[in-house]
Amino acid sequence: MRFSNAKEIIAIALVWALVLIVYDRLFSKHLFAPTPAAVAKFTSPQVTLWMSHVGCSRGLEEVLQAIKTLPWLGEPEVVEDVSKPCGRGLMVNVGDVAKADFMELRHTLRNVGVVPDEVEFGGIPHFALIAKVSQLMGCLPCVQAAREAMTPKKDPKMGSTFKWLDSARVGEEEQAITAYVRYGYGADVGELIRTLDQAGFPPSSVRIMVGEKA
Amino acid sequence: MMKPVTLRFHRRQAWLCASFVLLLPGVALAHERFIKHDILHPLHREFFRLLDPNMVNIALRVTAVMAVMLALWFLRDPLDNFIENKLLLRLRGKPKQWVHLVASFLTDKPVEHLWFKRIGEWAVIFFMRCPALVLMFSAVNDALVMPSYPLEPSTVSVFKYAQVIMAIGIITQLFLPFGGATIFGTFLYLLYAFDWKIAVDVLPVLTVAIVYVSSPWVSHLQVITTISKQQMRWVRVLLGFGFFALGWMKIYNHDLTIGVADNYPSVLDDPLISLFHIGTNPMFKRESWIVAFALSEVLTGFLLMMGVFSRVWSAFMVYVFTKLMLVDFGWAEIPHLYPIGAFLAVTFSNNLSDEFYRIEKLEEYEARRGKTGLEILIAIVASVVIAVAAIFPILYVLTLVEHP
Repeated sequence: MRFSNAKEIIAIALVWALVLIVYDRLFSKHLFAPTPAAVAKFTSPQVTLWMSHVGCSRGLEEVLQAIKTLPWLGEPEVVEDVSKPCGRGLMVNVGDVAKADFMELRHTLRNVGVVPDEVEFGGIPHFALIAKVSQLMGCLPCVQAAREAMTPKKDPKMGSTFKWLDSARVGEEEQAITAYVRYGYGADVGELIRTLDQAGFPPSSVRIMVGEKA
Repeated sequence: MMKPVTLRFHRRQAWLCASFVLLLPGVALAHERFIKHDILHPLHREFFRLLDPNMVNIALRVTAVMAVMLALWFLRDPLDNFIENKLLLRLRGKPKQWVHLVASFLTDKPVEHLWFKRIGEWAVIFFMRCPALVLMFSAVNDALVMPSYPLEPSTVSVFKYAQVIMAIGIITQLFLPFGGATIFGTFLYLLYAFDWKIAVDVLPVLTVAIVYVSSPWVSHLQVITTISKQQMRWVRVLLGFGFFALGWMKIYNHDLTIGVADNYPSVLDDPLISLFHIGTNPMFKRESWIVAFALSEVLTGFLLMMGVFSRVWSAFMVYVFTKLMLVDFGWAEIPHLYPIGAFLAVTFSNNLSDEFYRIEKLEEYEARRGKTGLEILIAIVASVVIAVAAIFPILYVLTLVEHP
């Protein structure tokens, strides 16, 4: 009966580790590519918006003008998706992260008749989103409902929710829900706002928290 | 039946492995755990910045328990001899036999009872095949090896299928040395791809890999029901070291520890952990609980690593993990079936050993010379020195380092 020896085991283990690392480096992709190399390259925070039918029936120029009214956003870059002939994507640098408010962006676009399908934010290795809500003070069932809403769920048809979320904190006193984003990930801001809307906690503002606290 | 196998690493190979592990970048790419861990109340972080009197109080209690356990271990043979052959001299028949079996169980000597051996054989089968269930569970939950390692959507399919193939290999016990080596390889990958702090979680998984790599290549042709003394030594040391390291990590990563407790507050009132922090300043109740919880794990891990009352500690850990799985956390902790399997295998093993043979040789020498007092003195001094050395230096270093 033949047994293995240390050389064989070390060789197999190293080759296997190498295979997994190479595969990971080549194929692991996400919203903002959370690989060590990508994290090191993060330089500028950025918002990505996807809007249906903006390129056909509505004026893209009107949307661009609306975005320019927000001082915390930079110059938008238009992205086209061949699978969505009328849809347009916008990539906009966030010049002033401290003043960024995604509800303000939403209202601004709403005023020109556009509701983005997707709103994603990334480009900072570690951050959190703070959604200001009401109705939490002195209402334990409301706090529990908010926690439940922020818990990632798995739907057999729709897939997992909040894949980008590390953890969430429901602050009763500060009337805010803080969504801590997984290190190196981007955040699906649209998913956060939709979830809170559906749970009965429409946020009045959604801001970005960076630094050690995040 | 398995032949005892010694897995020998030459010095150069050992250095190669160690260098490879140390060179890996400790990138914090995911720091979530698979149970809720949001901090609901702020923690007094300054508590962990110095040797706080409450912390020292807890550490002294744990050190005292460790020293007593070590002293009892060093004196187990004369104590056993005194109880069985002097105190219970008149005992006869079945009761005497049971006392001997219990004494053998408590002192990690072979327990010569048919049922004990049968359960031990089943425990080995459970321990060897249970990782397949954990891998399948992780695959279903889009994770790698355990739910602490969530997979990227872009790579999830390949990793899931790879885990299913590994699980099939484990269930059918096919090419176990290859399976064991891939577990080590996967551990290296996890160190690279995730935060090293999470890698501590996966250390206990490596214990079964030790048994796999020292199994025959044609492992599928025989039912492995025993773990040799040499293999069991590796299992015990690695399992103990895993919990020893996990204990220290609980203090280092105190926010995560208390985050879990905030979401499952019943763990804060655990009566056994309370023994270590009862009477400390109530203002630092949660901080003291962290230190008590962590040091109780350090205590268990260290004594298991050194082979001191391995059966007692392993049986106790079976209870703890079963309670966590069934009472405190529920389904989310189902992967704890694996450590339960590992501790069951140790509890029902008749091939246990310890790491203090030099001290025991010295004691034996003094006992043969009839110097019982000196024998007891050696046991007590050695116990205190070892216990202090195991607790205080690392605790002090942890007050100096930056906590995440």
